[in-house]
Amino acid sequence: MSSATRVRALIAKEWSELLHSRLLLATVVGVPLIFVGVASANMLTVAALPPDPTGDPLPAYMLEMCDGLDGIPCVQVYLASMFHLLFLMTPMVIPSTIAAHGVVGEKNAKTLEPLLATPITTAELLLAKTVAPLVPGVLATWFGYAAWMAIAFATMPRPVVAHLLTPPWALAMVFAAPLMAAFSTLIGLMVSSRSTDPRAAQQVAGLGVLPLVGLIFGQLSGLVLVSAPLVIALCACLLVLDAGLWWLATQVFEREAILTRWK
Amino acid sequence: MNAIIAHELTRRFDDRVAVDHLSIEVAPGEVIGFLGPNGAGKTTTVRMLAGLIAPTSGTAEVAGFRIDTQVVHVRARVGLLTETPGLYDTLPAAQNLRLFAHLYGCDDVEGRIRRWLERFGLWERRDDPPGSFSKGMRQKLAIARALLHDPPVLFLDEPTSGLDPEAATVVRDAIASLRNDGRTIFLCTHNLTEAERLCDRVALFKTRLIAVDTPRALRDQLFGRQVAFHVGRADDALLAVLRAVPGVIEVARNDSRLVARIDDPEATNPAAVRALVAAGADVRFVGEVRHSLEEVYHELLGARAGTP
Repeated sequence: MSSATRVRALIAKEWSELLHSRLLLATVVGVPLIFVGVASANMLTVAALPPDPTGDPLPAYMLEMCDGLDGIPCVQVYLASMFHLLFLMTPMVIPSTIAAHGVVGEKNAKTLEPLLATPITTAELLLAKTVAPLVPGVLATWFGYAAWMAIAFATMPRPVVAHLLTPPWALAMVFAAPLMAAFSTLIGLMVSSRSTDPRAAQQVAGLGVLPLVGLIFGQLSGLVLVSAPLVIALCACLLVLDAGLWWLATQVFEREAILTRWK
Repeated sequence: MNAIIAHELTRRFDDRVAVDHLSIEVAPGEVIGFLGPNGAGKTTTVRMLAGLIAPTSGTAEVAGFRIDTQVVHVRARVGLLTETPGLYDTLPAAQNLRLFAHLYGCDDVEGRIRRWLERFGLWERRDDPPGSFSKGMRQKLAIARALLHDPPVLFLDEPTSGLDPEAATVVRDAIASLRNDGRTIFLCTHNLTEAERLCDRVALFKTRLIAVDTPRALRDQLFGRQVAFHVGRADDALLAVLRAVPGVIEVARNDSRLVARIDDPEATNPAAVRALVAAGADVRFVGEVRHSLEEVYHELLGARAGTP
């Protein structure tokens, strides 16, 4: 019997259940829509401001980020960089929410024991439970980001648009987003493996987003400037972290304890 | 080779012993009832034999594979109906089965799904989610799921627990229909009527194995074979007459009946009837006293199961 068949079957089941869960579906669809709405509304509001509303010069770190632009267009570029980071929260939020239900949800629905009684191995089960939330999380991220880019291209001045789709952000969206999704999924799964309540698991797993919040504040204050080397370093760190978390997840997932100690 | 061979199987949870040195053998095609009160360790035993949890000590072979070193092979060859059906309530019935058919690596997945759904009368409801099913239908779907991969050994853990009498009958009929498949069935229950109807042998269990045999043999061992002579007026004289018949071990009077313990009623009854008639008794009819499995259960588990 094929390991890939078992993993595929379980992923298909997870996605079918996702389509039947209003809460999870609302998360997958709602989070990127909200981010697109907030980002677009902010950018359009700033665009409608008078050219020099305060008369004060912009801070040096903003000007450094704008690379030649000043005034409202520079504020737009600065805000856009914040929203880029906001979009990078999507692959953290969605997969962890789905993954948090992954094990404890099955346990509460009493479906875990029949599942564990099959020849599926722990690694196969965890792989399916990791891929299933990760894919919608990454797709939702890319969809949201693409929608926002489309709106930006349609409404922003060309010089601003030129600063939106830059190599660091493209790298972040293509490579860092899936790695971040894997990171939050594995944390969600581990918490779910040791929890008795899906909501509690979701809340604890949500803490995994904190490092990204730190990055947002770093950029807001001008302490961190997102660049291609930074993104590559971030990806490398995430790769190592993900590998470590995968190993940890397989250790934390104790089939016996999950069956016998949870009541 | 036996389908299940357990040798000194023991499972502890911290300081508590759930299963204590269980040794039992179950033949291929046999239906064995595993009887015991709540908390006796029945589910723990099933989980060990189905390869879900490991024993603390002892070992077992199920369908020819060891539960400690060949656990994936064991899981592939047993079907398990858990205490609750554990169905994906939002997914269609057929999709519930499809998932497990793939997990078990079955061929002809759609054919198998159709075969088992038809067998249990659920084919017409294949596109409906089990959340909309009655309890009996849900349990039948869960049994179908346990049978999808044609396992030679089937574990059923309290299959009629929590069902109303009508649903329980539906499920019992479904289990009875499996008897002819030549499959070994390990039926955990505390429903004694169910065990008596469905099982070839029963094992009485409360942390330790108390007794295992056919219901009839257990009754005979415990109560001996008893024959009731309905004589209209059972007095001391007839009691003495019956007691004097060779082969009669013990006689008691019970209203209009004389109840005799006899080792071999087929050989002794004619002489006993002749003696009673000769003594002036109006023998109206003679019948064997049937003790229920419930009496056996209470006698054995009440008297001998003082151990934790």
